[in-house]
Amino acid sequence: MPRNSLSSPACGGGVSAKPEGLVSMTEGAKPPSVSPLHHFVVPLPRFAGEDRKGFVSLVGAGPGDADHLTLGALKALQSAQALLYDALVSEDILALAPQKCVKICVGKRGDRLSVSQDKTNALMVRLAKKGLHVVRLKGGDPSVFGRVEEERLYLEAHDIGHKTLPGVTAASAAAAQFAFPLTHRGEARSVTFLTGRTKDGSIDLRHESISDPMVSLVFYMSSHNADHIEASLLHAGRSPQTPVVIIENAGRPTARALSGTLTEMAALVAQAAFDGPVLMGIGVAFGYARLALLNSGPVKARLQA
Amino acid sequence: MLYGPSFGVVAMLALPLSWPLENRQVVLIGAGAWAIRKLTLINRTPAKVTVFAPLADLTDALPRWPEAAELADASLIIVAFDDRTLAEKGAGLARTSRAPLNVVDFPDLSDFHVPAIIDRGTLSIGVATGGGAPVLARETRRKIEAAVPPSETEVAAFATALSPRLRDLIPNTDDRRRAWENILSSPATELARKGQIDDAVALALTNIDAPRTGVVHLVGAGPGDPELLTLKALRLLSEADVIVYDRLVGDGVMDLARRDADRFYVGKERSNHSVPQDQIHELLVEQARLGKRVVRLKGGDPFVFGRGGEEVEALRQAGIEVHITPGVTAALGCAASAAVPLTHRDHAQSVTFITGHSKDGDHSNPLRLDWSALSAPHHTLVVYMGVATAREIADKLTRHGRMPDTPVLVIENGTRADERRTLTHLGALADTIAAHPPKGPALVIIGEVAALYQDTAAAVITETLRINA
Repeated sequence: MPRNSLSSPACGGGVSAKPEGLVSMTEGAKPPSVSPLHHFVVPLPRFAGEDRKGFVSLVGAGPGDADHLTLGALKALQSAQALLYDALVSEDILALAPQKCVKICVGKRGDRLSVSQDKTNALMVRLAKKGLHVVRLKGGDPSVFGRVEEERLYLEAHDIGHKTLPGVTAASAAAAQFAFPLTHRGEARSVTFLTGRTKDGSIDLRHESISDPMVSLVFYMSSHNADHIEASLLHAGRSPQTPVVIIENAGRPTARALSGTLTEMAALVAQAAFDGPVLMGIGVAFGYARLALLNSGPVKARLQA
Repeated sequence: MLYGPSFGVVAMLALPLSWPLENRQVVLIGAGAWAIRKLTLINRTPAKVTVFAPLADLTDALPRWPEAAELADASLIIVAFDDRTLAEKGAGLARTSRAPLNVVDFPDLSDFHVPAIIDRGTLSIGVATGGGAPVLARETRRKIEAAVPPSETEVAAFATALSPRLRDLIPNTDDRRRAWENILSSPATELARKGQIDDAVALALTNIDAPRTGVVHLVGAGPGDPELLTLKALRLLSEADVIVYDRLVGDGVMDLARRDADRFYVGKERSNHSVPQDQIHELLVEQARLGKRVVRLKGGDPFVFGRGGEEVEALRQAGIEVHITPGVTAALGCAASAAVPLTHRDHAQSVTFITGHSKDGDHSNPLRLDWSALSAPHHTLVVYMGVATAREIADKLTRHGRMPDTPVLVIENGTRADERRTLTHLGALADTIAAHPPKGPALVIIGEVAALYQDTAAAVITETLRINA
């Protein structure tokens, strides 16, 4: 069945109905061009309890595929009256929200932030104050590199009720897809999630540059810093032979994985010219990703050693 | 008068027919959001649509009422106005055509109603109550949405592509039905769900005469609350022949599993009475070799302290096909329910998961870690199963420089109805645990982020959610 762009607006793509005077879409963005009705403006649908206080659900959407959505997230989506979603949330997931739900892409994607956090916060509050159930749908899990605390504090400052629902984080999705454990008996006693994307864009590896070979490291949104991370870990005493796996679009059908050793990491990242979100796994456990070659079906063709 | 069939049930008030729209024309007469919603629906079908917008408020529409001739070839007519007078005028015009008519929200003016629809491509499901109970229809739709995940769209496309080939190969209807049953629970269907329809058809045709082979799915059940099960985990549970689970899987989760699946419980309290790991491996291999679809259900995520890696290795060595479905690991579930982030731009740039408990058969000490790295400030440390070794962990951290006043949140039975949280600090952790020993599985969050925990949040939120539900 052909799907018209109206049915599920992609980020920055078609928007079927723009609530008048309520929402400013992505700043400086071109008006959506795919929708034949993009000039049309409808007032926000009225709901019975409009004078009632709204509510915000901060929901982890998981890695992108609707399969990895939790039942709780599905319920929140189905009762959403306004949906603010990240760029990486798939159309399948957006289509689960009611048709009359206002869907707004706040386009957060690592460094490519099309709507500022302040604007997202303000928008959330404005919609909630209309008495709506607002769902703030975030890629992966909200508690890990999701800046969820800033949103919660803002909601509390405006006396708006909220609830957080966890999601499958990208590291778990990647591990399942490429069959490597994050912890493993006798070889990987702990796992650390880090990001190279700090407030000022720098990466701080003071305490993370641990030489302990028994720790699995997973870097989120850090591929631009691969050379720095590689050098720091080698300097800290990590073995040059430490297995490394680099995964793009973890948990999605389009996922791609590269494997190698720590000394090859930056070169692999540079060669791959990734476009989707990238995870970098460093540690003995990631050596098992090669086992995916044995019998994991379609994935094997994509695992390039 | 309502009357039912002979066994005394009230009759269906409406028949949920399906209406093919390829090469057909649909006429929409309407205005505003109502018209847009119906247009969005029709645009998901292959129908040609003509839109009349008498209020001239829609672009790409004719800004007037239709002429009778313009309605003559319509296959369906939909009238969508927010206003009874306009709706009646539209309905009056539509009556000049023989096409069935739906007037949105005015069932008395309509020939047919549009059911609540679950759109899975070739597969579409309608829920109708004859207009009598729209809320019931919507609730039913929600339940079906969860049971028929969006990946069913790909399965439907796969089945449509395979159907003519299978009809040629297996002319006998009963044999073909059995073949379908096998195919729809086979790896070919899993491949189709990933969108690789052609490969899936090829695989299904290759395996058509092969005996059914067993498969093991390692599935993360999430942190306890059945609502935190993923759609894929729910689907695998509803298709399983055999389910192997342990004490970290919430009871509510098992209630969602297929009722006639064989269930094997392999874990009780900590390591004391649980089935040794190698016997779990044997059980999985044995059941898979019987041709069963086995789900190995694990609390949280299979690859975070779940020994999933060992099970994958053992199954592969035995030549058993194995697939892994991720889950929400306990740290994420607990962080969300306590409204505490694990990373924070000011307080923690990274988070480490460690386990305080040595699994049976694992003689290496899980606490043999680089404690000077773990003791750094601005870093969150999450300890799984850390109750028994809490004192040792707190000692090691403070000895390596973590401040004794570092906030610590202890969460027992995280995400379950009986969740209990205690906010303390590193220096008092061992005594706090000794004073209130957790009975269920407990998770310890150590770091500046724990101080963001607000005790009263939960009650307020539950109340607000109830109002909004």
